[in-house]
Amino acid sequence: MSTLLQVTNLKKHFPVTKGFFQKQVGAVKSVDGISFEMQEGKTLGIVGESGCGKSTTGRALLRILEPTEGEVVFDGVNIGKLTKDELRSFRTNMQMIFQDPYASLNPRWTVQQVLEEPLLTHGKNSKETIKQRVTELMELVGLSPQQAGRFPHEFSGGQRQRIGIARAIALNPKFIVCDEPVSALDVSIQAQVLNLMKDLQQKFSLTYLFISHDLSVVKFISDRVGVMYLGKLVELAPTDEVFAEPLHPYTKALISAVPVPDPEAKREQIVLSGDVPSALNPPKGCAFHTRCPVAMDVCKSVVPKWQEVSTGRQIACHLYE
Amino acid sequence: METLLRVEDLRTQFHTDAGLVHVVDGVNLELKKGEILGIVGESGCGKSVTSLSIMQLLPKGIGKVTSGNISLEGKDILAMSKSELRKMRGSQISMIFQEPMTSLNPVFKVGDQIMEAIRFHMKLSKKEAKSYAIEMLTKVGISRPESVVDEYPHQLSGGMRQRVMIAIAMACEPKILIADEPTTALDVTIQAQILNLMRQLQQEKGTSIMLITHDLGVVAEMCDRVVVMYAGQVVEETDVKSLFKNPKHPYTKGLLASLPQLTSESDRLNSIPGQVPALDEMPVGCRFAPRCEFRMSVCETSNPALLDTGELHNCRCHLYQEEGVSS
Repeated sequence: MSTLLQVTNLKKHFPVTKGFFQKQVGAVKSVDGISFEMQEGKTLGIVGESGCGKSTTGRALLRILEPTEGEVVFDGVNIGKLTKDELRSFRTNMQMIFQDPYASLNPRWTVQQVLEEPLLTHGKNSKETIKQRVTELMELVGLSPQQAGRFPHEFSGGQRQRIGIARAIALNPKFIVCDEPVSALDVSIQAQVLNLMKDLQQKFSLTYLFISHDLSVVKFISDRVGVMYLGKLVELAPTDEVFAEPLHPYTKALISAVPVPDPEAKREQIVLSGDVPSALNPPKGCAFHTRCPVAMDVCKSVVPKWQEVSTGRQIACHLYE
Repeated sequence: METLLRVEDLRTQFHTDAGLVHVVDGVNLELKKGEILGIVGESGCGKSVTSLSIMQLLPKGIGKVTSGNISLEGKDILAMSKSELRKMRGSQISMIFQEPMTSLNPVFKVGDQIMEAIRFHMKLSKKEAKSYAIEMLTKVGISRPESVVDEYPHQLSGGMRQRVMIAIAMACEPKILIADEPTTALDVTIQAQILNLMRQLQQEKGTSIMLITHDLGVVAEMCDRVVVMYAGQVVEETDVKSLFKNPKHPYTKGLLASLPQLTSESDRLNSIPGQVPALDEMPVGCRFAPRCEFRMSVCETSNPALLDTGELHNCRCHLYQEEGVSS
């Protein structure tokens, strides 16, 4: 298995300015130094609560948002060093599926137009091949090619998300960032879309970065899971290990807080007190210490190191140093 | 146990672009004293409209109850005058909504919004009402209630706003609390806090809760009894344990099977094929028939009745029509 994507110390800070001269008075550290790698054909799930920087991470990887610092190496190419034109053609390798299928499709474009656009922009295809490809794409995602002339509002949420997926795979990318692709869908539809995404991954050996706040969905689709809290990764491990034996206190709390659809399940719930602190002014030391049930003195002043505790398993917590 | 709220054969109609449609079509419900009743279903199944019909908060000129009965301890809600309804809302039945930001008024202080209900229903002076508001905020677990009463909603986080909503809803100690997706907009760790708070208040005051949600995990954790709705009708109704252990309706079965679970190892999810029919294109027979794997010829022509299949387990399906007795 080869490494497709290598991320080193990725940071994305949004400046906070004040006054007429827009003097910078601070920064929202949305993503604050995360490193990980992704294997080809596998899925890395990123979980965390709102505002932890998971979507920003996905966007910074594709340079939809320009990273403040850090390196993203995709298949041997340093994405950060590409010029605008190079990046444009390089984007054929990296695509994105968005959360809201209602907002991410142009309401004035037919499905045909939506799916044609990437094919027209990249590469010189004949009209005939484009038409053929659109038909093929629609069949791949389980839509009937007869619907190509319809507009997005004529489709249901699940079907719209299928169009979004078809658009993303139109150019045969290797890597897709999926930003909460099923959060807006009902459970029965969610299951259809998740199955479809798994099938497509197998067919085209796609690599997914799957961003979600729903742990059960992430568990279903991912090979490895990264847990984020306030702009930092706190734990990264193979999916089975994270759910069988979470190490970081935040991961433990997160997993225990998920309601289990079984009224007779007995389990111990760790209920965290308080809210997630603001990313504008994160706590000193370990960012989680304000809510951590096992915080020690050292957590208040020293930032825990990101280190490997066993093969393929990384964690940032003083308990394991 | 005594029944507090009884909804009988409720039909609610909406004006839409496609004409008049029945969003809720013959719903029967019973809420007993001190119980938590879950109402589950996917978007558009009519669960929120049912609750809005009970509160008589349907959008004016667009939605209207066309037939049926809603009675609160024997009093007919549908026959109440405006001022009677005003007195009922907040003191007998109150409601929390999904989106705490849009249901709080952004230009009034949090304290004023809690005091509004308190002063209207309990006839307290301003000063007494304020101290009572602070007491309520403390009860719902807000850490610095004295300063929060003088803050505006935008200064609070999502979890705190939902706590404020609960404080408003619980201030006059209503008998019934209708919670419409109270934790859907919140993160899991905050959701756990809010659910705990609701359970604790329910135990202390003996309030009956009608919990509307699409999350079967939340249902399993909170509810005593569950009603499953599909396309404006109740398809199954039973206690929470039998629902998860022995679901009868094919829709409930499909719903449970399509859940990705933390505790299971599977490579594929069993999804329900197709999608919910549009409101103006309801099938003549069973509304779930086009998506059902057990479909028979009778399903396409006649809609089954909701029947008791034993042990207070109601199910609307032709598969169980013989064993059932008309209820």
